[in-house]
Amino acid sequence: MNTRNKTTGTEPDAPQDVELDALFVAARQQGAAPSTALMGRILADAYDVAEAREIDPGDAPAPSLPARGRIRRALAALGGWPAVATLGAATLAGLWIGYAPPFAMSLPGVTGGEETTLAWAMPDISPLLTEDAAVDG
Amino acid sequence: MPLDFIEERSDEDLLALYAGGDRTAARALTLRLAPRIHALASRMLGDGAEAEDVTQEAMLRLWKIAPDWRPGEAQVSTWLWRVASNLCTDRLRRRRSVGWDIAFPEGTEPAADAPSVETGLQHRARAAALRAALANLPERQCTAITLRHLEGLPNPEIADVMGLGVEAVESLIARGKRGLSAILKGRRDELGFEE
Repeated sequence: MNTRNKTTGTEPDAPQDVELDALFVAARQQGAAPSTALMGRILADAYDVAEAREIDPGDAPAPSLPARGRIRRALAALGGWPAVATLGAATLAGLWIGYAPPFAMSLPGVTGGEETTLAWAMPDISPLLTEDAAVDG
Repeated sequence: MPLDFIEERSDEDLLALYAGGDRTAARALTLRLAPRIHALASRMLGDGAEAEDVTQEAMLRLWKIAPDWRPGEAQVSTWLWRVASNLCTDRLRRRRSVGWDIAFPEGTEPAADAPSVETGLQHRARAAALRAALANLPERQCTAITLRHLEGLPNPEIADVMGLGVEAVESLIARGKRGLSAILKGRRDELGFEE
């Protein structure tokens, strides 16, 4: 530029910094925005990579896990192996109590050597365990 | 997650959220970073399709590295600039290996007699001339000039991006500008720089 050249005294035929700056300004103004299609492809890549890593995006269905992974997650949700063992023992005890017939308990020494049964003290729930009772309600 | 909450988070926070499975964070990072990378690639390469390829590839590398990102070691944007500028440099090298005319048979430089008297056309002609001149600079000078004068990065950040010292960056920029001046010397009239 003439003004620049006069003030700086540089060679008149060489592009000066101010000329380069004008080119930089022009180039900055020519910048094109990325297309919607490009943005979509980039986002699709993001989701693909995330799903490949078997992470669980918050607003999408969880990717299917291998069986061992699902079992491990289910156990963790229940409180881990100790909680599951306790739950199993309680379940078995409940089944035994429910299905065992009324029992007799010996109380040696209480009545001078005679056996006293407690069967009379237990409610008779055997009808409730029959199929007929279950069907009749 | 609310968008206004997302917009306040740093790039690094968003990357960690994405690594944890937050799709909103991926959207925010795409909107925030992809246009800048696309602008850099467009200016370095001067080709829309190639710029899109570079942008998508750089972002893909970001998604892949997300779970292994170590907080505080580097800025996400700086890392991304580095990846994108390296991808551009690789493409510039390939172009030179096959020749500019073969890589761009229709020509990317403005015709010698292109009209440049009107402002819009002049801007386009100047931008195209600069792009062509940049493509003839050594790759590192081209990268440094683009990051400094077209993307507006400060020299210390350019140094991080390029893995150089600040003085080396300053030297690259100075030599690059001298190179541009030399390349464009014969086109001053055409570009509206009258005596």
